[in-house]
Amino acid sequence: MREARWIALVLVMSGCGLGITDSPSGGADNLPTSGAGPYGKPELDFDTPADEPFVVEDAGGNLYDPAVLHRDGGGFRFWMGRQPDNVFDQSEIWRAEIPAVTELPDVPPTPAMLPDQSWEVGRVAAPAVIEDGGRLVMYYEGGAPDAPSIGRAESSDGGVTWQKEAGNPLLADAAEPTAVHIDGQWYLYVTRPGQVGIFRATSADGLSFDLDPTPVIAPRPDLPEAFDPVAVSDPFVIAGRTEAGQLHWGIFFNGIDASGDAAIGYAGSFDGVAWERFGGADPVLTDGSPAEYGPTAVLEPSRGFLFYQQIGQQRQRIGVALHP
Amino acid sequence: MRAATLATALLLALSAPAAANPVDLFGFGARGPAMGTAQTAAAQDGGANYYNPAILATFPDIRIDVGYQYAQPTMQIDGQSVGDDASRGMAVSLNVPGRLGSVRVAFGGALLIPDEHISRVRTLNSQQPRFQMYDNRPQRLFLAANLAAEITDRLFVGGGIAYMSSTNGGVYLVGRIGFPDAEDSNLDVAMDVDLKTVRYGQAGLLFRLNDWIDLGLSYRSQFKVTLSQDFIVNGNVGPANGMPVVENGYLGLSSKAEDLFQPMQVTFGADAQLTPRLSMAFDATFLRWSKFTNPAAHINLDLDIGDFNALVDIPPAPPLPDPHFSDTLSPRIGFEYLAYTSKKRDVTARAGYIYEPTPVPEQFGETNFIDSDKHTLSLGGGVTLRGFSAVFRKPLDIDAYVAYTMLEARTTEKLSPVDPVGDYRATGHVLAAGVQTRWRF
Repeated sequence: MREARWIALVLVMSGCGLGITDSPSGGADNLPTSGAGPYGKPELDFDTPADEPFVVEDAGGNLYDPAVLHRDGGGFRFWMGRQPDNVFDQSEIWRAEIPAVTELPDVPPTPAMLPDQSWEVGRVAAPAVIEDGGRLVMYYEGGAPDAPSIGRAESSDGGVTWQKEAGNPLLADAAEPTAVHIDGQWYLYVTRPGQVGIFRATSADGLSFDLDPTPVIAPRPDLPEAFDPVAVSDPFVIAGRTEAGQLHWGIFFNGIDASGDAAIGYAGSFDGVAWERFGGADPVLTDGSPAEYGPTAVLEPSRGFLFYQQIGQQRQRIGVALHP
Repeated sequence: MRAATLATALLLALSAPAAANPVDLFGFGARGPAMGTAQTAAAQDGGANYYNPAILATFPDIRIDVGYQYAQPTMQIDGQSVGDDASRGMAVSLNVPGRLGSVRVAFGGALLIPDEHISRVRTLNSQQPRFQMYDNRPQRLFLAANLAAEITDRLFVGGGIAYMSSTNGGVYLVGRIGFPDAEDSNLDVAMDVDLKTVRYGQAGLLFRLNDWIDLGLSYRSQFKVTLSQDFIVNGNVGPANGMPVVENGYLGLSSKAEDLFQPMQVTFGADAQLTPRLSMAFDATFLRWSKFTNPAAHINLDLDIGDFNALVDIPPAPPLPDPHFSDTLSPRIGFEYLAYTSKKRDVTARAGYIYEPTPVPEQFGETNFIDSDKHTLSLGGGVTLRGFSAVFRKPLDIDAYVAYTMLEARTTEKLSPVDPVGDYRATGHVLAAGVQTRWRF
């Protein structure tokens, strides 16, 4: 009798295959991506508080050239140049935080670093912020727009306050810095006033830089259908060891075509010197007019966030595009 | 002579062409998977319909197996799960012995009915990373019918066919396409979908070398499912009342994909009764993975808009990259130990091991077929009950197993610095279990 009960139990177990389920097909979660692109802007969603694709804006001025890092516990931290309305030769660096790209800032734009050194000539802009140990390091552009230099500052309170380097400026005749610190070496990628291309500078201590005289990324005039036959600018570099142990470099930048239209492209490299464009002649974000500038990216193993500045409602605002 | 004629006829009937299936991955029933699926010479249950149909001719009685199988792959890339679906379903098999003249024969059939997908075919582009062996492969029906015969008292042959379906379909729109207002279109829609039966063959031999060693040989033919889909629009382009801008315009989009590939397989197996209580089974399977074709869809676009053709340049579809899989040889070993026996019941313990080398080469280019060498350890047991019921006078078997497959970690290093996927590290494991009852009549 006891065995009959066991047999009945086994039969019930065997028959449980008749239970029908209707879950969606799996196997495509968290797929890896290099984050190169392509990127697309999120559509305006009336069910979210954000004004997609814009994530940060300021009612009193233009926000531009953002630097973005993840925030502990979720969300993003921004540092960006901020110009008051109708003022073109002055700029401050402000900060903001958002809990998600579909949410309004929970730390609204507020000043983080002001131009208070003589070489800055009332203008600090284009911050590049990296996490380095327990501190944040910022390289930024200062000085008159036609004679910019690069300065450095550090923050030990998560980017709320910044202490500028006494030896500033570190690099003259350079603008739009982007930085990485890897394998004990510091790398800056900059543009230079009056010169075409993106240049690389290296340093062992992050303070004293040697600038390569030739650009590592140049326009492609021989490829007229390319997005960047005339000029390249606004670099944002990212580098790291892959799962395979390879040192991999990626750079987002603006390309300008013969019509003066700008688009954001991407190039990759294994040494930071020889770069290959992603997508051939095409940019990774092309949304038309008005153009997007000042790209910066936050990459995760299976997705990427590309932040940029774009004019909207008469002001430069910070927007986002997503991949995949 | 009659036996030889019958055997020849039976083998000739198997020349049909051949999908990887959940049975290929996880085995059939509960006894076989418990023994590392080394069953080509050792099957004693309805699993013979898959492992070696010749063994069906050795069964003296009608047997019905009813069971349930479950396998959950957990595959990870860079430490994150890709969320593979479980493969689970009811496994049923039937074996009916009989005689054709003086020849002892048996008819058998096996069916694995998945809970969720009778068949899942999804064509992904070659660049999209996927665990090739655990994406579509475990998600399909297995249905096989077999015939076996005893040639001599030492030699048995068997074979049969397994079934699947391929899909041909299309959507056809005929009429007028509104221009400049597309919403003004007037189109008749016709749809045509064919699910065509695809058969693939399997065959086997069993040779009783002596009282304690059986040798087996099995063959399963190659198989893949073809999916053809067409989308055709035919008609004038223009306003409802007026001259058409394009007369007899044509847009044809055809997609063709091949999926659910099953390699041709030849397995040699041996089963040795080492002691009255202990038996050992061994299989070595050759799998012809080198014939694997890229499962991505090949899409062709054809457009005829008359005088405007010169304005449109549709480049030909690029060829799909060759996956360059390699043939593999997979050894399997299993043990069965009669732990307890009495007048009323036997208790048996089983264990097994499988090594499956990966056929997938390094993915340094644009494709991302992910796989690595696999090791499977299995454990199981069975109870045979005798005289447990006045209705069922013959013994009843209840088997169960659990198996763990570990995929070796494999790192992919890309040659291009602008590879859209980049480098990654893949690993994974599979937990499988099943239970089966075998009824004799």
